[in-house]
Amino acid sequence: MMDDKTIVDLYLRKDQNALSASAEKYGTRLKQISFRIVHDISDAEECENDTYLSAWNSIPPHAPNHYLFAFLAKIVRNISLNLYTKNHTQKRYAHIVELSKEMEECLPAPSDDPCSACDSELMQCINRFLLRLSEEERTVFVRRYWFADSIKEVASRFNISESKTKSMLLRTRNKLKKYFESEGLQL
Amino acid sequence: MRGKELFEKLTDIDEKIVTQAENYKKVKKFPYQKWIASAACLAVIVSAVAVYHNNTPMNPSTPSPFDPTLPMLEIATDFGGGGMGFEGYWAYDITDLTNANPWNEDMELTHLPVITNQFVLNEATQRIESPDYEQMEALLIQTALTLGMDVANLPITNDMPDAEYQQSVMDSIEFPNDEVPDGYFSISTLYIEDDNYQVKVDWTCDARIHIKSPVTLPSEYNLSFYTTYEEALLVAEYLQTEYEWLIAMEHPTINISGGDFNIHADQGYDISFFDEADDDIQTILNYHFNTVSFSSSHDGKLSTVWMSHADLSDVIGLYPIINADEALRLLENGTYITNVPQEFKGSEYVKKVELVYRPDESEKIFMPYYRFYVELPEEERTHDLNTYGAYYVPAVERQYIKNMPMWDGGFN
Repeated sequence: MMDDKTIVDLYLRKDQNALSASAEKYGTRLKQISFRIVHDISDAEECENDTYLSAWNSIPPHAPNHYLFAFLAKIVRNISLNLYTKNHTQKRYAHIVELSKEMEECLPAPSDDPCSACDSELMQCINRFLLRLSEEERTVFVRRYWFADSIKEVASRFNISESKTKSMLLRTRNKLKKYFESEGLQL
Repeated sequence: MRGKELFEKLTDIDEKIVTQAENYKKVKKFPYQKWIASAACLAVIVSAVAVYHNNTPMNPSTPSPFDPTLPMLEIATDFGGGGMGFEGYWAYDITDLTNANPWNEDMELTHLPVITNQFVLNEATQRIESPDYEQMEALLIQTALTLGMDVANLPITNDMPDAEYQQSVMDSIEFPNDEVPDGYFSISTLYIEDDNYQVKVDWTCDARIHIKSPVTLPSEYNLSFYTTYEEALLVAEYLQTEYEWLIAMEHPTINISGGDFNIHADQGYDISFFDEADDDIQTILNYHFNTVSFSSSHDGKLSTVWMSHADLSDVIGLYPIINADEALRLLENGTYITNVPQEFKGSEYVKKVELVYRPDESEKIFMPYYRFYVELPEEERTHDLNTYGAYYVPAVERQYIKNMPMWDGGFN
């Protein structure tokens, strides 16, 4: 299997083998991320394929030599969320509803008003917060709310009980809420 | 803003955090446990066979019935030398030599894991054959994040030589067939650094933290190269408290190791930590392969932290082992490995024994040995110090070893 730099070089040279090399190396994982959001295997495959095309169009200027997986994963997450929103205007998939509800607990004052903080300001704040957490807290949080893992999957990955996973996530959500408050972000 | 919008916006968190979460492995647990069940079954069979044949309990030194599912092992017989040209230690008395090796003869160990070294050094090219750059990068990021470095805005660099340097090497070194071996100029180390730290991870996946402004410890702590055991222990206790967040172990155990003397008769110790686990085998593995070590600069300030993370995921098998008495008999019979330039003279010179793994990058497999510290009376005495040489006997039963060493009058 090719290393990331070689695959990125293929993208940079506009060599179509980049797509198959990406699929070979990361296809399963990308599909998994998508499936947790769209909850439909054919939709997940479609999102995966769109991801390679999007990567094709964005490398260059990007050259994610050191973070190709994260680069592709972000794209597939984004595409999957868009598809989910488009397909589920009426009936929402319970897993995403559950995750959204938990995320809402992080907000100091949830409302339907649009977020007044700009995206980059919000992202810097969240990055700073995540980097302050212990490695385990951070990774549990990201697995749950970025990768949309189930509680059972997170517990299994970290070799901890489901109740410990839930309480760790609860504590981190509370911490994030306090952090947002201390940063004075208008969310 | 609602929760779903926050959930969506999370997509844009830093790539390194995403990478870390994807690559995260619960470390410090090695998958040898699955072998224990089969070893337990084997033990039952062994006992049953012994009772059936002898109607007496089995002698512990009797070899186990051969288990054909366990691969035969080929052991390394070429051990590198130490500062003396061989592995030897100067001390006034054997009790000067110390460490916190959790093994002791009272442990009822019948089996120990033998593990593939994932990162074997190719002696010819001096390169690791299959570096795992993704694992190296994940460890680099993880270590940098632990230190609170702003990884999102720091580049990851490496030691790949530039084209000019490569050309100068090719011009000055004569390679066989005029061909540069594959991977000769490949990356061996990844780096990330800020104003406070430089972190580097090499291809054996050891992380080394260089503290750019070495830390002066409070005046009551002596972290110089040469200290007493008590001083080293005091420093270790201080470091354990101050750097608990970096040591990051559930049950950190202090290991003050060394106690041997140099040519100037200065005595020194190393300070490290390992995680005491719930079971003996795990603790022994942690002691050898999963450690955090602290060391000082020449002026006694804390300058380097070394975090060792061997990849022990590929367990070859859980092998039956002999006990220390049986190992001593093998030693007496000349079945040993050493780079000491003297034949083993007899058990009266054996001063100490311990069970060890040798976490060396040239070892293809990590397997347990008994290390005997043997007094070498013929060695020239400096400052009236005794010399103790290291002689190794494989702890795995000999029926599983292809090339059981026999001392043949020659030395490595």
